[in-house]
Amino acid sequence: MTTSEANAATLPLPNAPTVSATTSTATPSTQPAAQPTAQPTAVACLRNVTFRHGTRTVLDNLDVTIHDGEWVAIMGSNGSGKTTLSRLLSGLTAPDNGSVQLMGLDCFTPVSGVNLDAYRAARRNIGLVQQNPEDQIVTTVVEDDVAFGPENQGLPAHTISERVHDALARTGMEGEALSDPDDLSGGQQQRVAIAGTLALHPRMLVLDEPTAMLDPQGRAETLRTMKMAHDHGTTIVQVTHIASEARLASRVIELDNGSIIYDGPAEGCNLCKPAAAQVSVPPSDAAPASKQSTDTTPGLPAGPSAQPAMPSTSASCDDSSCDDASQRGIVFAVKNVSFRYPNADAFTLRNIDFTVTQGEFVTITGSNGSGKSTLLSLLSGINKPTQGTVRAWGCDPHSRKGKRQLLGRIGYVMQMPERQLFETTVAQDVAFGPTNLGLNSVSVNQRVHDTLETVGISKLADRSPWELSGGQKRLAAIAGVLSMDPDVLLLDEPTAGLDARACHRIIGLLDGLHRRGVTIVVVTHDPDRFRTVATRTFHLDTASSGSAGNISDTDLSQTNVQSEHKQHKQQQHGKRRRNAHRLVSRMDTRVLEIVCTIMMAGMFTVTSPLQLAWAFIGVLTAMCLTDAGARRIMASCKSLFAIILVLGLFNVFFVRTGSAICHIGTIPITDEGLRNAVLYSLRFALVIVIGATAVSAASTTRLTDATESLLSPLARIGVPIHECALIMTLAIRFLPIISREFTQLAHAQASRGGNISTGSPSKRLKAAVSLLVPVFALALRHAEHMGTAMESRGYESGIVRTHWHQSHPGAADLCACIGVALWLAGLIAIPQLW
Amino acid sequence: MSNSVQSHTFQTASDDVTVPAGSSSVASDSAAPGSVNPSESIGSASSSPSKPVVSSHSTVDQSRWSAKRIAIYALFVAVAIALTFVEVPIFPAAPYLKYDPSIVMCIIAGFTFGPSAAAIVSVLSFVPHLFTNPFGAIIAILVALLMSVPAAAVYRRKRTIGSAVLGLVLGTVLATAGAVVGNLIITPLYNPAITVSAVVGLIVPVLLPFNILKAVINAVISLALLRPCTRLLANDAD
Repeated sequence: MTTSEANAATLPLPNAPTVSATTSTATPSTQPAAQPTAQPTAVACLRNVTFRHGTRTVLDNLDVTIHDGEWVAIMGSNGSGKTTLSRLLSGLTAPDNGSVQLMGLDCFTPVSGVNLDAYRAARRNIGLVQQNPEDQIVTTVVEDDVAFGPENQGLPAHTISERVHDALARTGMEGEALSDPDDLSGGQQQRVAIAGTLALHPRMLVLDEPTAMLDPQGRAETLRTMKMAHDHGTTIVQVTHIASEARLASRVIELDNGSIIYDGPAEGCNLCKPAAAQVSVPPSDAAPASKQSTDTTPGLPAGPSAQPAMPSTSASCDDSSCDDASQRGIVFAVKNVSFRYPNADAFTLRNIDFTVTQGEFVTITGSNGSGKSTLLSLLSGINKPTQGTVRAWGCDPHSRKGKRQLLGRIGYVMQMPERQLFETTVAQDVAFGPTNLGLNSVSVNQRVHDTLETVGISKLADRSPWELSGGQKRLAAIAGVLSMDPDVLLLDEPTAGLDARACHRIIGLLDGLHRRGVTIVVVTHDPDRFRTVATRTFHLDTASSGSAGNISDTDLSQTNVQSEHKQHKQQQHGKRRRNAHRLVSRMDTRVLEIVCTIMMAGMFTVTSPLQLAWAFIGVLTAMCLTDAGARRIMASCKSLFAIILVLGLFNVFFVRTGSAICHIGTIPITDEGLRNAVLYSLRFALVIVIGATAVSAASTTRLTDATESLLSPLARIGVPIHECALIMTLAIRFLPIISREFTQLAHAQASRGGNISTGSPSKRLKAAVSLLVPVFALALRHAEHMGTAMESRGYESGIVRTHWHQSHPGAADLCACIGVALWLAGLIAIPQLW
Repeated sequence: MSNSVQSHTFQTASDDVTVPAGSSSVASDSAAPGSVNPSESIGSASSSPSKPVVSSHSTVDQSRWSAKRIAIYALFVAVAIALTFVEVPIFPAAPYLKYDPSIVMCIIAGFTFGPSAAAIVSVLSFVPHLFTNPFGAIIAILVALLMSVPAAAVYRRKRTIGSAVLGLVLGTVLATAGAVVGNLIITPLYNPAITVSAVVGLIVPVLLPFNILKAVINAVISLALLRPCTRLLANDAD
């Protein structure tokens, strides 16, 4: 990682025109009078711009000019107005007063305010990249996402092709053109997002902390891509807090509380100096330095152990501390455990042996993909080992009985635990766990009070969780787990995404808990932070199939569990082939949909076994004529066949006519009943198979486009078909993301005792609320980012969009129609003749 | 009466523990000027939001289908689809009869964005299921529409808890009726031997309580979510 960091730092400074003399380092009040027209080389010009939000002034009388071809870095502390400035420069938001000129157009003037047409025109030349890679990609195929912008601009299909391939080539993502963005790493997704903006040939690219959530490799990739764009002549404006990135710029603007306090070359800026690290305030509650030195395992590894081919091994303790430990109780016993995710080929964990004894403070380390989060999930009982056993105090944490016995003893803090907050006040949220334990309200209040004291957030008790800062939220979430008074605390990356002060706070808290006897297990990619407080480190090697891939350390765009899951999923899913071969897969998707609907309807004329056989022949033929093949399609249906079985049984009990074969209780099973059951169950099964065939022959994107096209006449009578098609596309895109987040959330709330399946109605209701409010909050957050991304790529209501993929019915469709007509004829004819 | 868009930026707290700009974990920390006024609806005057509109920083045409609105609806649909896989047994006597909370999302969409939002989310959430279980999906769409759209319409007139309850009662009645009628029509299609009268005689005694129970659960959960979700949206718009 350090080499890529070094690479990033040594990228040569871009050849930008020297900073113009009109940019000032003086305070805004001494600015020369605003000029009515900007200089010809200025791509963005803000004069006397003020931006207010409620009563708060975010930007105060700002003057900024960005020139063509520059590389500008915008820095400043949290709340200084950096993001607002980036939105003003990208034309996505307008100020309260002042004047804004973008691309030479007067977008906002003091006299007439916002000029929507000017903004629209200016935005065509400005691209925006945000910090969440996955919230900027609109669909499930990389190249289709890159085409989104050009489609919004109404470009013809062949131009879109050029733009897409060019953009993918420039960002180095051509190899992944047909991939699902969900399978890519954060760095790759960010490159796709950049490709999406480059496809519009912007003159200026505004990037808002584009590398904030990426690992060093992703960061290097992103910066390389930016440099490439800059070399092509694109102006770069980058909001960043990373000094090494800012040093790539020719000019740095530093904001403080809404005003510019520095505007000049990177060398002169304080924040850019190499020595100026992140805010690193010595903690007032510093843990004593050498507390654990005698207890620490001599074999604390500095990096990944020797043989990468070996499956995950353990650095088990083998010194004197072990002998002491064996006298104390064993909390977790992991014996010969291997684990594989359901859809994966390879094992995430292989033959792990691991014990935690009472009173320890263990950090589990290893690069992403090594299985550390998975190991934690096994300890907490979220997952069950594929092989081997996991026991907590002798109980199986995954089994229902074990969960009952262990309730409240194991505290599990998920990654980014603030996502689990759902109540109106912090105190109420912290009370959730103890209430689920069945304590009376007096005890609950006492617990809440004590826990808030321990964590140090008593003064936040009556605040709404949504108002807190990130670090405060995390403390509140941890308090919510602590209030159950667990004997063991499992934490997944508790310090991820926080600054040095917040980290110290959390580590101090964990240290204090440890001293009070709580056993602590922490998964972290940064073991150095915990060096002074941990008693032991357990290091996981990369499994042999593992992180040779492109996902690695500190990739905050995904949680550990997601990337561990992805590592192994990637090998399994082949990319779609561009060219379809067999007939059904080559059909125009619209014709496919119509034909399938007709076939499904036709199935309901089947009332005899002969018809059923004929129908089956037809469906089988259709299946064999797809690229996926009959076997794959049948396999995709198997879970649905269970429903059919139930329906079949239902039918058996229902039909009483005919002669009885046997009796179950007083209910006769008749021969006709059986015949009916089999016939109609199979009939329904075929209906489902037809649907599955359609789904496997065309991607969801194509199906959505085709439906949109077929229903588009309805748009003329006011039905919002096009908008709904886009909504459907986005929904399908976000479904896996939301599902994953929901699952993690469910586990977190379950470990606080929230259970929607059992318990009193009021408890179950509260558990439901504890799941649905946070998922709603997550949905809003994703939507916010996605909406901004769409706007910056030219999407507006009422625009006429072109479609890149246009298909026309051809020979394959004719054959299919003839085939279906024959099939229908047969279906109708059979009962007439026999 | 405003169809304007509000903006918001970083929210900082001046307390000890702060978060660097890099943290992405928090909704309020991510700056995104410009968001959706939840009470917009087609054509008609929007009902006034609970907070006063401060100023508009919008640079796009604020007619009905803004990018943000499309994104929010899409996320509602995504959540609803995800929730169709959450199955909870609610009838102790018949543990195979499961409830899923997806319709709650349709109702909340309706309360916060209006009846047309409820309609869109209701339909789109079950479209994927049309390919796997077409009749089940049709009934599900029908029930979702009948539950969420009337409730949203009633709530739109008067945004109080009382009218929310009223709307949900109306929705419960209509949705249950729709479920029964839908099953009456569709079950014989599964098996022609089952006549309509057979359905009435044998199935209705099971269908009715089950669907009423589901609708009531949906209503109760939606009411519990109404205030927190409205507040979240208002926060978002700040």
